[in-house]
Amino acid sequence: MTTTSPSSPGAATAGDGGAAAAQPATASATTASATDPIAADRPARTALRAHQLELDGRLVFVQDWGPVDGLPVLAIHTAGQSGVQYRDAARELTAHGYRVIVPDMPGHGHSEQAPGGPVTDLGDYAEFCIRVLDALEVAHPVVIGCSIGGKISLDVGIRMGDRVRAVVAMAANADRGQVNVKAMRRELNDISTPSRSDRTYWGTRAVVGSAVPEARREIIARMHRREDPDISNSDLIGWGTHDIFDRLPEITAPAHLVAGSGDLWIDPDTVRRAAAQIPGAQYTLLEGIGHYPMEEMPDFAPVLHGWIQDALASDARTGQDHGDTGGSFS
Amino acid sequence: MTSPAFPSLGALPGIAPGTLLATIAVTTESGTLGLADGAAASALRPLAAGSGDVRAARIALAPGASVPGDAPTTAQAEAVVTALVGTREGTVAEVAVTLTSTPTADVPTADAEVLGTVELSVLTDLPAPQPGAAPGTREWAGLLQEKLTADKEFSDLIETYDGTIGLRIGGREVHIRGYRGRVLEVTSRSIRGADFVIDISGAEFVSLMRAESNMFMESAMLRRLSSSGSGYEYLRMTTALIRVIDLCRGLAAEAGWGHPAAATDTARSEGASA
Repeated sequence: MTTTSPSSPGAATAGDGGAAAAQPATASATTASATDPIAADRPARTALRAHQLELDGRLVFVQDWGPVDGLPVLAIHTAGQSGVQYRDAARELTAHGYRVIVPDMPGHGHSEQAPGGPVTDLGDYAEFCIRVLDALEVAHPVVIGCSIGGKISLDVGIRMGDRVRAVVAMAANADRGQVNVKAMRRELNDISTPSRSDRTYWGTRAVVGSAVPEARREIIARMHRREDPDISNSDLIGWGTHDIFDRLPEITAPAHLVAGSGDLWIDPDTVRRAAAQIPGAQYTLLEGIGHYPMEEMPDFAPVLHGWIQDALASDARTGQDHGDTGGSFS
Repeated sequence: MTSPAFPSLGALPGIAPGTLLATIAVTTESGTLGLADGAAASALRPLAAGSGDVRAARIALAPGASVPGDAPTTAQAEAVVTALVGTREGTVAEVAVTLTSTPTADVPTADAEVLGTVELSVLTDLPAPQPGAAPGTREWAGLLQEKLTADKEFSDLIETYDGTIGLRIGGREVHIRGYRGRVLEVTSRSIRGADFVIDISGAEFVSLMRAESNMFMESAMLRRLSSSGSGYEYLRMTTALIRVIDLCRGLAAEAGWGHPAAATDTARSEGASA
């Protein structure tokens, strides 16, 4: 494992608008002083593909961005959220030649619940991801994810072995996550979760990094309160019970684990320890970034592109047949 | 994060909640009490006070903290004023001394291990303080009641509430009795007690007041404050509590020691409720 210094221009260029702007007093508060740097450069119109897959009699929704012959990147969202978390990152990654595949996990976003109800085993999500890749006939992807998505990406890396080209796990460790599983089970009863959406809103704001301008922090928190608490709590039960730490050495693809210095949910040292378990893995601490790098960093796409290129360049398996790399890379 | 400038409060210019009195190095050589004594002595000096002026002292070691007397190490002590309270004897400065392991190249100050705290109440020659400098006191609660009563956002947030929100700030309780959107009373003890109490140390309260934005949720997530009583009502009142902290920040800003941005932040919905 090597430790790289924060290579994120995002942390450096995002500014300190979050710190400079006054905290909104309630959910109705807005900010006028800080702008959203990610919104500033959006094109007026973007086309993308989407798929409806039927798995086990349930509909699954998958966004599919960029050239079909581009290097495929499977992007996995966080607990309770959906592929919408990659709405900007996926679009910008296509400019680097990638094909970005973003599923809504069962019960999230546009995907129907799994036949067995809300999923509490992140291993089931890992299997789900592999089935999505198979259904789309995608071979040798890069797998990225954040939070539970990060842990799932590590699990996919274990399960798929050499069939994964690289793994980028953000805001995730590999042992049992710091969550009160008993409380999560109790809160599966709606009556036990007062002010749930408010708490999601404020909790999300609190784990966005200090380098992120207020307007961006606000839209992230607004979007996150769309969750279904039943699904979110089940995801978090999975986070608190899924332990793959001892299996990390089985990951043969080059891996890059990433933590944010402003992430109150994840101790960066646990991410660093997880990286140390994976042969050749990289670890990066993003200064000023919190729990959602793909939503917080205006330069997430070029930064991820760099991580992926570094991973591919460091791949000890170079020379093996990993299939058609396809696409063109900037 | 920048800090606001302090106004002069009288004989000892610049003494207000949030004033950093001293940052010193102390040694664990003489054990916990010696460590606390050394830290306290340094805190008293800028107040022109002696050990005889200490009216109360409370030492708390952090769970798991190590203060080895046999293998002395150096610790850092940071003394901050958390309140100025008017008493019949004179103005009592409440001071929190936070003891941390000495920062190193690998462990910056912000991440240094907190070994414990020494909380002091020190009789001083400072002039009588304004109520806004004494969070949690009866006079301060009166100011908060004015803010809460005038605040439409808070009124909306307690529209379905019949109960009492409790704060404990630097050891002093403040009960906010609400009913159907109205603030009935802000007092040190309501008749039926509080549904729940959020315990905020004096030092943490000062941090909340002086931060550039409302960091209540961050403090809660980092377990820098604690709660007792009904967890259900505590969670239900999440946003109302954040609004209470907003208004406290407004008070601190108006008193000259909070972050200036808080004054304008809390002013927007005042006067819309009755």
